[in-house]
Order: sequence, then C-alpha cells, then structure tokens
Amino acid sequence: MPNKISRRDWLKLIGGSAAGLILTPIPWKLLDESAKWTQNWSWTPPKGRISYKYTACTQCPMGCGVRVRCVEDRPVGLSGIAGDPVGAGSLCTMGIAGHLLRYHPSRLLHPLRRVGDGTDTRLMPITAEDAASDIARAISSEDRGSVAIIDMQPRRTLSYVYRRFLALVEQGVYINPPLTSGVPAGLTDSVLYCRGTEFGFDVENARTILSFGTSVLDGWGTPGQFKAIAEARTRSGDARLRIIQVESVHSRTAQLADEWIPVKPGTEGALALGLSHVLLAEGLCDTSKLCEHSADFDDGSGRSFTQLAKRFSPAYVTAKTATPAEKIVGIARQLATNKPSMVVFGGNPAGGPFNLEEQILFMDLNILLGAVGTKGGLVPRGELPGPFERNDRLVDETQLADVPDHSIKVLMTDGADSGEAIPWTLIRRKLVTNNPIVISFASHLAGAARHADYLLPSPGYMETTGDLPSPASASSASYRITRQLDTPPRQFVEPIEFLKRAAAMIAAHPDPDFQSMTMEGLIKKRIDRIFSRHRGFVFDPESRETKKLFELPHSSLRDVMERGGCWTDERTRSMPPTQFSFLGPDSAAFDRIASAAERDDGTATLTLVPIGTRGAGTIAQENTIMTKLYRESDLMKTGNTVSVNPVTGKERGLTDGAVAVVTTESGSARVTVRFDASGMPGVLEASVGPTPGSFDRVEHRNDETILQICKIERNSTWRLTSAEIFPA
Amino acid sequence: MITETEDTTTTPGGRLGKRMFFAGAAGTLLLGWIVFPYLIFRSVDQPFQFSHKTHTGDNIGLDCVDCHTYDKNGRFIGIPATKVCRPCHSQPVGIPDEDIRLVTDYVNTGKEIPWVVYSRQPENVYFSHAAHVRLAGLKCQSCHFGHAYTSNLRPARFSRISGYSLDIFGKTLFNAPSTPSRGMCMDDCASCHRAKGVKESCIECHK
Repeated sequence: MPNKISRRDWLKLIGGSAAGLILTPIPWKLLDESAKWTQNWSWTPPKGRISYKYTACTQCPMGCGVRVRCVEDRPVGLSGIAGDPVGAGSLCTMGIAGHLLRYHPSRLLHPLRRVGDGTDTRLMPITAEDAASDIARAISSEDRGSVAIIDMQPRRTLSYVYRRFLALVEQGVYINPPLTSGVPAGLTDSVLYCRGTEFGFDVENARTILSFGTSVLDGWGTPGQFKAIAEARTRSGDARLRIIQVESVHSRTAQLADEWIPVKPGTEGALALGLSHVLLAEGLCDTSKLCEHSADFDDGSGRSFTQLAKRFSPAYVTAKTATPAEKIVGIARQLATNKPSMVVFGGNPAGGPFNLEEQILFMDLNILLGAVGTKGGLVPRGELPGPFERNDRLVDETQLADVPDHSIKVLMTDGADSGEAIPWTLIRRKLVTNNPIVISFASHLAGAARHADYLLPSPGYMETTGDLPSPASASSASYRITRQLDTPPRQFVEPIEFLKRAAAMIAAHPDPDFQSMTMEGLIKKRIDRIFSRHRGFVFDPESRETKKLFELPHSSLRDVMERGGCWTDERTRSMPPTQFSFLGPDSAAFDRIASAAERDDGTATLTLVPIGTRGAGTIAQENTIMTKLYRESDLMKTGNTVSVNPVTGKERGLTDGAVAVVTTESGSARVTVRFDASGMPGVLEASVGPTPGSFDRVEHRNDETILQICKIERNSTWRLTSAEIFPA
Repeated sequence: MITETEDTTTTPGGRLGKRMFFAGAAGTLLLGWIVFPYLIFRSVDQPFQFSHKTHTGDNIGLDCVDCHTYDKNGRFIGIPATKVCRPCHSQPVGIPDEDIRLVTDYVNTGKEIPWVVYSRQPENVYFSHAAHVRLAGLKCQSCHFGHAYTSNLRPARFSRISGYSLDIFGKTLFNAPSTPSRGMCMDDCASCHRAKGVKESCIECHK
C-alpha cells in the first residue's frame, strides 16, 4: 500500500511538472518564437533577394526621388536619394510610408457605384465596362451641362490625355484646382503680361522673404528648396536669409520665422498696400522705370496704383491690421535694403489661396521690389514640353474659380493628390442641380471620392507608370518618370484606358489617334522632346551623378529616366517683364482691389480659419507614421479640432478639450476645442486633417468636416468664414 | 469519540507523493534547461572551417576591411566573395582537407561559398555598416567582439519555430540557452545608442 503509486501521486507528479515548467524557459520561449513565426506568414514581406530601385513620390506634386528597398521585388522600405535635385535626399512623413497605403482599409479594390438617395446610399460593385457605358450615356445625353475633369496634378502626361479626351466631347472643360504653391497663371497673365510663362521662387538666392500665409518652413516648396532655405538661414551677417511671416495664425512657420506679423484675418491686402505706400513714399523703388513699364502705375487719373497706395498710410493700416505703424515701415525698409527680397503668398494647404485682388497686391509688392524676373525673386521657368504637338486638339486649362456655377453635368475627379484640401461644397457648386454625375479615379475612398457616384479605382502609388512635371514653386523646370514597382488590385481602372473606352462609346467614329495612345508611348515622346532641346541636366539615381543632357546619347537619357532619374532645366536668364499692370486688365479692378484691401467685417462674430499641412484632406496623411503625429502624440491636431484663445473660449463658455459646435451660414460641425494662448482672440483655427479613426478604418462621414461649413465666396475662396461656437 | 487524523506527510504514501511532486519538477527543470535548448534550436555547420586567427594573426596580418569591404557606392559587402580568397588560395595552403575543398569546390569552379550568416536580421530591420563604421567610427569589435581572432567557426543556431538565428534575438525571460550578448540583438543596439546619446526612433531601424 505505501509503495503503490496512487492517483493522487500522479496528480502530484503533474503538479510538480507544471510548477517546474513555469521555472523553465519552455513556455516563454515557445510564446516568443511563435510570435516571431507569425511574422513570416505568406502575406508578410517575404524573405529573399534584396534589391534597390528608384522612382519618384506621387503623393503630392513635388515629386521627390525615392529609393525603394525591395524584397523579392516587393517594396518594403522607402528613403530619399542623396543628391536628388528635387528631394535633396529627403522624404516627408507622407513619402516615407507611402508604400503602406495600399493596405489602408479604405483602399478601393474594384469599381463601385453609389445607389440610393440622400443620406441612405450604399456602394455596389459594378464592372468597368458598365461604368463606361453609363458614363458615356450621361456624356452623350441632351441634358444641359459640360463634361469636366478636375486634375489634381496638372501638366502630367495623363493631364494632357484628359485635355485630349475633353476635346472629343461637347463642352469639355479641363479644370486646374486652386493651389497655394506656385504663382497662379491668372496672375502672370493679367499682371505680368506673360501668358503661358510659369514662374517659380528663387529662394536659394533671396535674402529676405516676406511670406503672406505661406507655410514656407513647414511643407511649402520642394525639400530641395527647404534645404536651400535652411542653409541660407545659417549664413552669417547680411548674407543670412530672413523670413518674415504675415499670418493671423501662430503656425509652425510663424514660430520658426525671424519675425511673425500677426495681422487680423483678411487684412493682408491692406498690409501689402501699406508696405507699398512706404516704398513709394520713401523713394525706395524706381518709380520712373515703373511708370515707363506700366500704364496704371501712376497715370494721373486718380485711379492708379499710386493713388490707391497713398490711402493706405501706416497709421491707416495699423487700424485695420493691428500691426504697429513702425513695424510696417521697418519691414518695408528691410525689404528694400536687404535685397534680393521677394514676397510669397500662397496660403496654407487647407485654407486655399488668397483671392485674386489680394494676390495682385502681393505681386505689386514684388514688382516694386524689382523681384520679378530677377535673381532671388520670382523667376520664369523654361517650358516643359508636353507629349502632344502644338496643333493637336487640347482643351484649354481653366481655373476652378472661373467655371460657372451649376454648369457641369458630368465631373471626373482625378485620382492624384494635390497635397491640398478643397472643400467639396466648392466643387458641388459647379455641378448642375439636376442629377449631376461624379466619377472618381481615386485609389482610396477618401476626400472627394466619398461624394462620387462612380468609383473607378486607379492604380495607387508605385502601381503604375506615370510622370511628374515641374513642382509649382521650383525655379527651374524638371521632369521625371514614376515606375511601376508594385501590383495594383486586379480590378483597377487605368484612367487612359477607361477614357478610350468611353470615347469609343460616345462617338460613332472614335478618334483613332486617341484610341491608339498609351502612357508609355506618350511619355517616350515627352522624353524625346526634352532630348531634342539639348539643354539641362540629368541626375542618375544609381550613380548619384548629374550630367549635362547634351553629354548623353538619346538611349542613355531614356534609360536613366526609366530608372528613376530626373531632368532639370538650366536656370533661365534673368529677364524682367517689359510690361506689367498693377491693377490687372479689368477697368473695374481698382474698385475691387480697393474694396478687398478695405475689408472690414466689423461684426462681433468669430473668424473661422482652416489650417493644415501638405496633404491636408488627402489619404496621403493617413499612414503609419502620421498616426504617431496625429493620434498617439497629439503633436499635430486631428481634423475638426479648433484651437481658440482661452479668453475667447471662456467668453463663450468653453473649456479646454470640450466638444463644441461651430456654426456658420453654411452649416454646423462638431469640433474638439483646444485652448491656445498664442491664438489670436476672435480667431478659430480649425484643423483640416485626418480624424482619429481614419488611420485604421473607412471613414464615411461626408458632411461634417470643417471645410464643409466654410463659406465659399463668389470668387471660390474659402479662407475666412464668420462663425460662432457654442458648447455642445 | 476521538478520531486520529493521519499525518500524510510522514506516511509512506505521503512521502511518495512529495517525491513524485519534486520528481516532476526536477524532470521538467532538466528538460527545460538542458534538453529544450537543443530541441528548439537546430545547429547548422559552416560549409567548412575557417580560422580568422590565422588570417589576422602575425603571420598574415590581415585587417577586417581587407576582406569585409565596401563597394564603390559605399555599401558594405559583408561576407567576401570567393574571388577575394583566390589570390592566396589558388593552391591549397592551409588546413589540408578544408583548404583542398576550398580550392577544388569553390576557387577553381568560381562557385560562391554558402557561408551561414549568424546574424542576418529580419526583413523589417535596416542596418547600415557604413553609418556605424564610417560615420560613427565604431570598431568592428564593438559588435563582433573577438570574432576576428577565433580559430574556427562555431555552428549557427536557428530556431525551429521562427527560423531566426539565436544571435539576433535579445534578452527574454529565461533566455535559453543563456548566452552572453553577441552584440546583434535589438537590446544591444538600443543600449549602445542610449549610451552614446544617439537620438533614435522606430523608423531609424525599421523602415
């Protein structure tokens, strides 16, 4: 009996074993190794051959060079390319994680069509063929209205394909979106009489930059330009670049600038005129030359620019802008003496550009300073050839602001990202009221795609061959090709193929030239045209060398470009315009400009100012890096967060972190309030950006973002909106 | 009526139970600490023995960079190609059997030697020799310790479950087998970065 092993003894043996097991590495090591084993499943990046390829980032129009680390030809990591003429070896937080966006939950995998009415709609699968048939029928219908394509990254080869397609349909309209980088074409046409000439900013050689609301130190321009700015700010003595930021918001650029001028919202035009007043009054510009080259500078009529500027004395401007008079005089003198100086005036990527009248006043400052067509100022860029001959039928470019309201019956929105937010309400205003159709080529259900009737997912980043023309702010033209490095979803829709299909359905005799086009063929033509100019430089990403174009044989140029190289043009010789207008060609401009500068809301309401960084409102911000900034650390404010001065907030019964409702004449939106003592009293700084949930789920909310309640002015701007805010 | 309670700990049956308990514990401890490490890791021998000590010693006096070099773009090549051995080993010069095999199977045929890499990092890890050696000025011994003076190459050990080398995973609870740090684990990288005041974020190494 004592030596017989009982059941209890066996249980004790098991108990002892269990106790011993816990004291051994077995359970912990098995757990550990099993966790690591799960990293090697079939859908994780495979082990295998590592290779490096080169392409360009397409998440915004800048087009930074990208070095792609591939495992078995599958992109797994991105970095910049040292020496890249555009990116200068950098990638932003959007660029560095762009290859992961294909895994975002809102990625569209096949064509969809919206069914239902009002708020009760859902998305149903549809074939590309059926979608093309529906759209062709809509285009051919007798309904009143134009057929339009809004192109988020103009001047690509695909952009020319859009214009070619629209030339084949009746009332085709090709639309450029409002952008805050670059010099608007309307301005160069009307003020500088340089129709068709693009201007960039020669920041590399400037000594003073006066920025009106442009995020010069936080995402504006190319990384190469930012690097040049950063280096210029470290120069010693008088050679050091100074940046003066005029903005009603204490933005990151305002924080980092040499001087921040906090003006009342909407009074930037008045400040510009005040500065012009000082330059003229103190003889800090060559007025005789200006009279010679401009008909409306001082024509003695009482309605010339000098007459307008006379009204805006520093004391007068102080009352409008809250900027001290001596500060205005000081800045003007600084601009005049610390040359080359220039004025940049884009606005921030969420608030959109200034209105035309204000832009004219900013450009006038550049003219007074001699900053147009000269080193360190606004410089003309050489033309980048397109893929078509000059006599090919292409629809002209139209600005969104110039499209008549309620005129578009079929609207296609391009899939590229402009890097900037555009309120859907602005686009919707251009649509006919009776059953417009909106088609989106976006790769993700985000932004304008959420409002589309047809979703035709185009290939996303690195999933197709494309190209990138000159960045809008660059001082010389450039061109590069983007390569297909990854596989798009099986049911993707290549826009050019879709348009060919639609064109074949619309016309009884489809245009054979259009039907035979391919992106590869058109891009090759473009490279051929660049080669035929025998000018410029070519950067090879593999060797990191830059060679003169004329030193390369034709086949080498094509080879380098297809491997991710970049062509940049030579700098254009300084060439100041010979004629310009200070008020624009329109005889009523004087009154409009004066009115814009005199702007005085005079009410007790608050001013809602949308703010954001590059990529605002686009899917590009919803990546795994940005989640660290937006969601996990609160370093950047998520969408629908409103920063308000504590005094203003408390007056309205708000508390820091509380939920509130912002109301404008366009609607209301729920927001989260954050107190910020650096905020201007009376100003609601509303963040436009990803919502906390948008990083890992599909966001369906269409009409609750802050942009939807911004007032769209008659000139299609939305920078400032009168608003009120109440606790929710 | 008084009932006597049996003291089971002192009775033969109770003692047996205690012994069974401790036997179970001891057996599992033995299994966990002695047997398990050999079960969970498989050993992979190098294709043949190589003596770093012979090559770096006084007679030959090679330095690490003589074989483990950078290409013209500054990228670290790592394990040298067979052609690096050829100038000296066109004929057998070393340990007879090993060197004969080197010459006949690899040098003469031009085939690459399938060296087993001890510390190949997972695909989600990006490591740059150029950044550490050329920019930061670290010596090879900082991470590779005395490897340059070893007389032979130890077998590489890989987990049968995860497939990763024992050399690259750091201190876990009851790390088995308990090994001195080989300098290739994330913990080693992180502690060295911290010691040298290097700012770091996830993306520096996990691109």
